[in-house]
Amino acid sequence: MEIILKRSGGIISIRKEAVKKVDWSQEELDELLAVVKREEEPQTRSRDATGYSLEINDKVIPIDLDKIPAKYKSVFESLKSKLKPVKF
Amino acid sequence: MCNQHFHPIQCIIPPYLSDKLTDNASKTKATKLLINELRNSRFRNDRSFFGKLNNQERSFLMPSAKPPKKPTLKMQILDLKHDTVLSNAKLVWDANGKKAIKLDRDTKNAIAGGTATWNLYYEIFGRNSIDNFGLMLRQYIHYDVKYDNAFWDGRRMIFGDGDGKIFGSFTADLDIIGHELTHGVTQYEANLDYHNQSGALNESISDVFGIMVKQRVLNIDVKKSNWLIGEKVMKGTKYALRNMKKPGKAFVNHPDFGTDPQPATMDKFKHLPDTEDGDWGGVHINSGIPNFAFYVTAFNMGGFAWEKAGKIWYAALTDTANLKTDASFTDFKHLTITKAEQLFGGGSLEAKAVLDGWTAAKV
Repeated sequence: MEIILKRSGGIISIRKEAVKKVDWSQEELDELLAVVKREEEPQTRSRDATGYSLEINDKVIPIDLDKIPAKYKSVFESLKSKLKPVKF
Repeated sequence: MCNQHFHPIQCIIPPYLSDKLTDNASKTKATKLLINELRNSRFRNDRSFFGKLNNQERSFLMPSAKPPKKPTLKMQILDLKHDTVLSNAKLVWDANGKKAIKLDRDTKNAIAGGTATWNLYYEIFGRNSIDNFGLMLRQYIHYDVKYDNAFWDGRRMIFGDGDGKIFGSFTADLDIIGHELTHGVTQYEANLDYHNQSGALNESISDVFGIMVKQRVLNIDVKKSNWLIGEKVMKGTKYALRNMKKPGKAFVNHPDFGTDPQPATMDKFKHLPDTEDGDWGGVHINSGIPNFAFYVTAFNMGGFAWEKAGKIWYAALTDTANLKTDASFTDFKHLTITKAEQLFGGGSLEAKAVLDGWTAAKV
């Protein structure tokens, strides 16, 4: 399956994306999302902060990159390093 | 006189009180009454003594009132050395103490930007730091690896080094440091909700005070300023993060970002989803509208932006009774006009300039 790591927000609110094909089973994916999924919080006190989300099968899920389990760390490190801006 | 003593001076307790004490026969109560009477007696004697003194004699005995202590900047710079865990940061500079022997460029930038911002707020608006109670400014530098952003996390400022290709260090621009610190000021004042129009106002206010920080350090007036936010951080001489004079023109046909999406006027307001991906309804996009209103206002007033327009915007931001957390552009327009009338008079040129500013932005 194809996964897209997205970064949004920031002082000029740029969007960045990186795509990767992975061979995770549905069970592995569910296991990963159970750990990294986060709620979108519009009322935090952070301003200009950036946030990450994962797009899988046209579904965008906000995630916390700091919670990626060791097993998936290299995949996300690679994706993070390949993030490219999306034009306005 | 009491009958236990032969000299009146020895008789602290008047007869009626002695009788009362005897009647009550309560030791605790007697002690309390005695203490109370002793205090009253001393007070009467003091009053009598001081009453006989002239002003000069009295001034010799009165402790002189201490002048109020002048607020001073409290600031720390902490180096994350590319970590993202803030507790791992190393203190490299403290306004009142530790200073590393050799300061790197970002430390120097953060010191300069933090100091300039603190000075603007104190010297022009009489504000003591972010919270107006002398809050320590904590600036974290070198966040993450090639992190191309700066943000306020609700308590402190965090700056990335940029990716080195599109962005340089986010400490490079005084206006960005002023922008982030002003998010703190807004949090302690109107605390404008961070979505839709109130969120765009929140962003605009940070740009407004950020540009004034830069203009003041450079000593440039409204006519000479280029009104660009982040002109150094974005690589390429043609580019900046935002253009307050011409929203939508900060970058045009940028190879990575395309063209600046900011509108200058209300008829071009961008309706975006109220989600993280939608920039919470376009808070960084639609801020171009109130930014333009401020620019036109300040330009028409002339001189330095902080002398008049800045004072009006500050008065509105800090009027928490009238500026609601969910304020719209129109709410802020009315409040800034009211503040201009209060500060400079009804029908004043300043009040007219504010109205003209918002009219130019079609609000």
